Amino acid sequence: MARYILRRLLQAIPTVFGISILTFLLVHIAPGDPITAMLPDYASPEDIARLKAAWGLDRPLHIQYWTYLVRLVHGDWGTSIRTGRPVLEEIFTRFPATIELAISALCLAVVFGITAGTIAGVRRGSTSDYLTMMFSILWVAMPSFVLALLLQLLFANKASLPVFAFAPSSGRAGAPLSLPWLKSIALPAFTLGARASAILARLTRSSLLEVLRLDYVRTARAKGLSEWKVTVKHGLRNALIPVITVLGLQLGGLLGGAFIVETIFAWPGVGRLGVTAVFNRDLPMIQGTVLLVSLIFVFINLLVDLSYSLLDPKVKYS
Amino acid sequence: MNILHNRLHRLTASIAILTLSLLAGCSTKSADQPSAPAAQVKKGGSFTYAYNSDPTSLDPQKTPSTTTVHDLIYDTLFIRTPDRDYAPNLVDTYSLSDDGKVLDMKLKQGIKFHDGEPFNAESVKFTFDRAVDKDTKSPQSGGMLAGYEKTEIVGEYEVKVYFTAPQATIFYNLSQTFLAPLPPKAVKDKGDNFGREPVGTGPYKFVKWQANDSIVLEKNPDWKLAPKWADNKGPMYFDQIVFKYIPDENTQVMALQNGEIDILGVPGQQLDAVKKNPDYNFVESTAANLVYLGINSKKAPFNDERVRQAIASTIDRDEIVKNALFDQGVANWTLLSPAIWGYDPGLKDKAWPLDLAKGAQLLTEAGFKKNASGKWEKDGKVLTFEIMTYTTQPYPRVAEVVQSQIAKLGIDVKIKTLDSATLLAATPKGEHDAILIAYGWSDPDILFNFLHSSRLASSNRVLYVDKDLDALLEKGRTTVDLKARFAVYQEAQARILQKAPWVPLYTGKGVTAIRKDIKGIKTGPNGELYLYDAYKDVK
Repeated sequence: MARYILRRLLQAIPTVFGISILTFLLVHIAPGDPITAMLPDYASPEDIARLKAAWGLDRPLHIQYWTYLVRLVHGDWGTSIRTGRPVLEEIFTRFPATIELAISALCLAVVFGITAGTIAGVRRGSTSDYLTMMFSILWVAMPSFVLALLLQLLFANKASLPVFAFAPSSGRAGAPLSLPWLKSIALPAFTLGARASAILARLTRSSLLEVLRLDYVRTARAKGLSEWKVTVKHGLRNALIPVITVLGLQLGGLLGGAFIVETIFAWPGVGRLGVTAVFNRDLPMIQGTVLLVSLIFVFINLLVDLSYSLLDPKVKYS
Repeated sequence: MNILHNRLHRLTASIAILTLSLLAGCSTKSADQPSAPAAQVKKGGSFTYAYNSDPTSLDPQKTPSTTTVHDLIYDTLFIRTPDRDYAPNLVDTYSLSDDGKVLDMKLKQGIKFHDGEPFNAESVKFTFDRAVDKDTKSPQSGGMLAGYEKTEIVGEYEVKVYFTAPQATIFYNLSQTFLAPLPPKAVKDKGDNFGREPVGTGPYKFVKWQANDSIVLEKNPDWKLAPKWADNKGPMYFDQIVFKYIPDENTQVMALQNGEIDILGVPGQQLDAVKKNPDYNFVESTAANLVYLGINSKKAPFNDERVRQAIASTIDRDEIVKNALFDQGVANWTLLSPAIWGYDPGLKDKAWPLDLAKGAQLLTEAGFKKNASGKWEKDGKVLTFEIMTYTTQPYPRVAEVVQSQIAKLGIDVKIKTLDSATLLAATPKGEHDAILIAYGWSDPDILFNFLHSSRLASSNRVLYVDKDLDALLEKGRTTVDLKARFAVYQEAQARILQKAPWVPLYTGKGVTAIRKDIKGIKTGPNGELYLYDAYKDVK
């Protein structure tokens, strides 16, 4: 197991390395540079040249990349050209908020999605099945900014709907798990989790339906096990393997930055960091956020693969 | 009202924006709220703004744009007065030498930075030396001290600042927070962190800044720099000023309705809905900006001024204001905003008026003929061109109206929308035809950067070369006498209008909503919102 993990981590190095070269080149191919993007549009050529030299942007590309790489290996993710502060620090002052939001959204998605999917799968063709599927299509189809606005209008509208207005319209309040925090995270987490829960519900349902048709389920029933045990222990556990894969990808997406939801609810996460960096051509910051997101995906994929062995005894790693 | 930043187009494009500035340059149409008798004033409480992106740095020398946060933390050496003049602020008395190269300033005494460090000649010298120091990597402040030679400390509270050239814009520059005095010891001790934990002499002290969440300032009880036009001569009334991070426009409006913020530069699209709400007072202001059509004057056929003049003759500014801006702007026939010094409405006579017959005549004189399909043609080439503009509204909308106006003369125009960094990177190559962009600045000297031939291939994005204009723009930056300087810029603007490398279109307008329980906010003629007498009337 340990060897497997080590091997997977080593395999991730070329992936991350490739991504970093690609990001570096893409940013350089795009027109515009961080200095002209930052300076006022009336800046003199001397000022532009002065700052480019100060930031080392006048050196050949391969040397710039090499410098970046050497620093990265030493744990230095570079300095944001825009703010003049270390990239890692910029990311990690915002990352806790993103993790809070992603985990909350995922918890909602798992609880609602898997429960609803299981009920729908077991009671195929029933009203609850149709309702679940209808809502899941609605959640998948509805853009998050629409859902966010609806939730705001319903639950954060002190001026017109004071009865329902339990949440602030935006922002993050209080310490994690405190009441003000729960109030402030409720709407963004729900907005973010709705889509994931809908995807999970549909997937759980179809996967469960498939599994419940298999021979070993019939065997379990024939053994005289209760329907609950058959469904949950034998059915759901096996049905969850594809669900976990998708769950991992969803979590990666949620952590990588829920740009729209973070913007609408002014949630102080990393979501806007990368996008703003691209507009500013803030190279070190773009590199940093892309690197972070790729590391997250590598790590989560590893977790997903490892979780298979917990769900299915047939899966073993060595 | 996103006027506090000097790069106007960026504002709309999502960079650090705080909704308003204490010292923004714009002119206002709104009755001041009456000041309350001292007994009615309720001191304390907090006043909350919304902002849509974190400031890059709260060190004024390390940011490309200053915000209300900067303006409240720092004091400037000079201050813009309601009558568009400049008055000493941290300075007690001063004199500028006859050649305009030496500024002697006696500083006010007994003023301390928020950390207790004294404000004195040493701090002024330190501030200027640091602004021009290469290692500071200053995006803006350094450039504002162009021609700076040295600062000589004459006494503990007196400095002489030497320049290599006459400084016509020195008082404007020294009234900008970019050049606000900094505390030498705190700057050295904090190093790079100074931009996150700033220390100034201003009416509010820095308390904390949580990235993408909020910035909190608390009252400086020792502050005593209230200007003549404030009734309250002591520290400001609010105990706390809070800046809340709310990037989304709809959420901003809801936060205002809920009372989560007290003041908001109303986003254009929300204006109608917000204006119906009886809970707010409104302040309308004209921005210190100009949106213009710039034509590449080096590229054929636009290197022939008659072609540019023909294009200028098709522009109907009133239609642009009505149809593309929904009246959130004022038609402008000059090169400067009505909100700033140097604006002269009389220049309208020098601009090319809307006259399609004249446009056709100019094109004919330039050798163009109408072909069978009604388009202008010369040497077998049909006259058609592309306007590059920003992707953010209102630019695409304005470009479309301009496109339809030019089409009436028989010229097809294509529109290409680009993000700011891409567009600005494209112009130095000189391959573009025309750009529809804006600039924001409060002194006419800015025209030097955009139209002087020494700025070709950088900020002279229309590649315009005109020795006579060069001479005028050079004269403008060194003429210290205001009357003479005004005449120089009148002449310079008339020349630009005549030759038409730039066709000015309009100046933006903004509306600020203030919750009615906030009393005593006064507005200056330049759109400043003075907080000196403001308080919250809590029932």
